[in-house]
Amino acid sequence: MGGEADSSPGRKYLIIVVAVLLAAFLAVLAFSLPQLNGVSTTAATSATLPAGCVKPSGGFLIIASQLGFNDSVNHGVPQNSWPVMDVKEGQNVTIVVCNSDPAEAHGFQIDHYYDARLVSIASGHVLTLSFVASVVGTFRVYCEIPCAIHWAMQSGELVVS
Amino acid sequence: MLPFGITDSEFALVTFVSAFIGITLVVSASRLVRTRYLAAFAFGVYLWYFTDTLADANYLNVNSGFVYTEELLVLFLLFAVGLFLFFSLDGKLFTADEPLGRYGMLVAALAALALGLHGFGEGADFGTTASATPFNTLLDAFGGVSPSASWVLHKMLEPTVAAVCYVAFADSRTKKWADRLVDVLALSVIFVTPAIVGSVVGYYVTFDHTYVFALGLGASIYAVARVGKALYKPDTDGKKFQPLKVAIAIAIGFLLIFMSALLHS
Repeated sequence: MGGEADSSPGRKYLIIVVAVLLAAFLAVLAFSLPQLNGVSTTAATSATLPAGCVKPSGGFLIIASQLGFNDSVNHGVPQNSWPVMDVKEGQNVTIVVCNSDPAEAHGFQIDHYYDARLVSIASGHVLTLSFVASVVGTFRVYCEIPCAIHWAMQSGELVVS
Repeated sequence: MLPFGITDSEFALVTFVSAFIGITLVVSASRLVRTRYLAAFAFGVYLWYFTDTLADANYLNVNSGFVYTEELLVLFLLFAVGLFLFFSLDGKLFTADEPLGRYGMLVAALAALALGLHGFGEGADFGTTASATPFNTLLDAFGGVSPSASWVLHKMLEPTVAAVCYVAFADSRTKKWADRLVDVLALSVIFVTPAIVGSVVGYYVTFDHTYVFALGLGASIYAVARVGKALYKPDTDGKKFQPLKVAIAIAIGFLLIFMSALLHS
């Protein structure tokens, strides 16, 4: 299917397609150091936390995984709000967000306080953000990029009182 | 954890039927609607497809900025591999020759594969979530009816881009309905196979799916390049080019897949 004068599909090109795609997939698997799940209920979620994934003093730690934000699927989302971060007006807020999901990137946004641009946190990476809680109210905390567990990452709250 | 066999069968069936319906609709519509407007519709669908897949590829790690990281390099290389590979396979992509007949069907098949490749990552997402979820049903694990409906609609709309390649280049209008059905079935299988394989792999193996999306993103550009050719194909019936109708068709394609994405949240 490659040569300009060749109107019929060449078998060699099909072989090349299959070989290159196979090589690319193998490269992907090799590069990302796959771990056999072993069909365990926890294998995909119990990956070790990324370096720097530590709760800041007086702040909050959010862990994104296949169970949502801080295991939100086990806390009744989307009917319930989870996780909920309570702060006082004027408080300096620090949040560490860790993506412990070995499979996907996840986003992190907070209405008003942290929604100026799209944020995506690659697998195994950590995001640290700080701001002053200057406006009183309840602000939604959510993921902004598509992922399989997206629905469970829409119900966080930052409550500034 | 959802049991593998039934879960994956349901996933495969739903994905296949959705793709089959989407392709069938376009092929059927080609008897009423001119190829140019179908191509414009597919172009609109592709615009969202690209955005969505780019997000799945973690924006090729653009957030890391001008700082070298292994991830950034590998993501960009995979994007380039997908792009170069599919462009190099179609020697008539930038010639005036019409890829009719068997060649035309291969163009459509190549487009279906190029578009379906990102499905490996989506399938792997599905498999990983299915193996990790504390829920017992597929609907609960994926957030209920709304996100599931979003998946069905996406899998109906995405392969319409390949269906337009089939309509434009495989001489579909002159074929018997049984031959068309076989072609549509073949295109559906080609489109969904990466997703089904991905779901099996994702269930058993944990790896970063972002890289697969980068490869699929690059590959998919081949399909839209072909659609572009269909969009600007000279008319043989002397009818005038109507830009407004083309714009409307693009908007319809874009809005349909955009609205189906709204269901995901």
